[in-house]
Amino acid sequence: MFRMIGAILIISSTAAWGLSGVFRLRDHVRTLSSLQQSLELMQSEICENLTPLPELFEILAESAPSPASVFYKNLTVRIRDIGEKPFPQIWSDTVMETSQLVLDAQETLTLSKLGYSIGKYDKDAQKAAMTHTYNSFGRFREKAEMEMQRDSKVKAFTGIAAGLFTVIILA
Amino acid sequence: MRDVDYDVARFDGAVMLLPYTLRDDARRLIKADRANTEEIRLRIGRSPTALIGGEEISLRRDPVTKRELEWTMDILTQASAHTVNESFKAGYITVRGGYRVGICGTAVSQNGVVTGMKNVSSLAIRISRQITGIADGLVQEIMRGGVFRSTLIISAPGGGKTTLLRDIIRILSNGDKSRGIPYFRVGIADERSELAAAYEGTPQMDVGEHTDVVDACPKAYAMNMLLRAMNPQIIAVDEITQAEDVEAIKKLSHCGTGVIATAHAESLEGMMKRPLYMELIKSAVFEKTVAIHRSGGTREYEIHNMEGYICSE
Repeated sequence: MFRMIGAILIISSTAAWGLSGVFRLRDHVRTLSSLQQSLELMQSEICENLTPLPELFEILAESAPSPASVFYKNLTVRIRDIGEKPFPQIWSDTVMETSQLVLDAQETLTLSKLGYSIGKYDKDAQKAAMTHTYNSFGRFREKAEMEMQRDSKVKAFTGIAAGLFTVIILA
Repeated sequence: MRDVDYDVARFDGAVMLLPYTLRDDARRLIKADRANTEEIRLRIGRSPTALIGGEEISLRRDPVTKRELEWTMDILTQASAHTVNESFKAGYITVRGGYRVGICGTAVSQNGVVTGMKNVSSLAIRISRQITGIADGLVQEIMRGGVFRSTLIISAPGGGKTTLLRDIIRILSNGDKSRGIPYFRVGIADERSELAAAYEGTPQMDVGEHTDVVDACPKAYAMNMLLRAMNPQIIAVDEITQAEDVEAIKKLSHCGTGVIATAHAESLEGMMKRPLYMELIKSAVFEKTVAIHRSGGTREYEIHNMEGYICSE
């Protein structure tokens, strides 16, 4: 009886480990997709409606898909500290500290850099920066989707197989 | 009447527009200096200064960095410089609290027309203060039988024309039954956003209950807009400087609208020597002139009509 319970526990935990990898791949794609969608809205709000950033972040916190919405919600609060920290730092810190965003190092850097361009006087430079970030996130998303298709089954299988293998060896 | 606590509060409000690296330096000024600071000036590579009584006092030894200037711009615009494009081209912006900030940098032009500015190099945060009640004794003098008489306020630069005009507007717009002053619908053509200091449409200065403001718009155009759209009884305009302003004022007087305006001049005699103002005086639009003279710490108002007399603040 105890052996059976032990085997179930081992297989469950390794399966959970495998599934967490699958969920991470899925969350990565969701993060990139939601950020890319929000960048499209951001560009039209800044360039066409001249929306101030605090208002823009409120709009995006409401309308952007999750988890990008969480990032913008955090920004609506943090931008109030603009006298304490320069805006590019507020933006960059929020990118780093919003745990719901699943991004690798290059993606984090690309998004952080956008903080140096938005909200500036030069509309064309802003537009170019937003377009660049949008396109980059498009490429990141495609890559992440391919990765998810390729690796998710492998990760799930590896988790369960590792559990079964461990149980067989211990038995 | 000067209220030192109010004056210090206005200074403190301006300090909040600075990055924290500069705030403590500004707050080190003694209370009297904080109350009397007219401007805070930031120049890249130079010490930040406070303009007090016509002199610039250094706030710290370290120079202002490019990062601090850009940071200040972000605070002023809430990291949204793209929303103040038109004002930015004119070289100033008006921010929350009614502070007007002059901006210098590299002008960007296309086909000889300035389309913007980049590389901000200097900022001057002007600390405008409303002095309520300075026109109390004056408004009755520029009225006759409950009827407003078009008035021109003149003084040298920094003489207090705008402050006096703002208080006159407030009194005329609210009315004062105890003094027999009815309220008037007043329109303000506030080209440089100094009179009402409107921020996102809301006047930051008390310009009265029955006042309509067109700001950030050329004066002559704004006066015509007010005349067509708001049926004002009085139009107020600060600093007549161009022939178009004079033409617009003449048009107002033909329509029966009262005008209260200001102009740079040491005296009425000095004013008559300048062709633009001479034309304005000859057109007989203004029935009264108020000349402001500074004498020590006080101001004296000399009212010209058929006869002149002096009343003290």
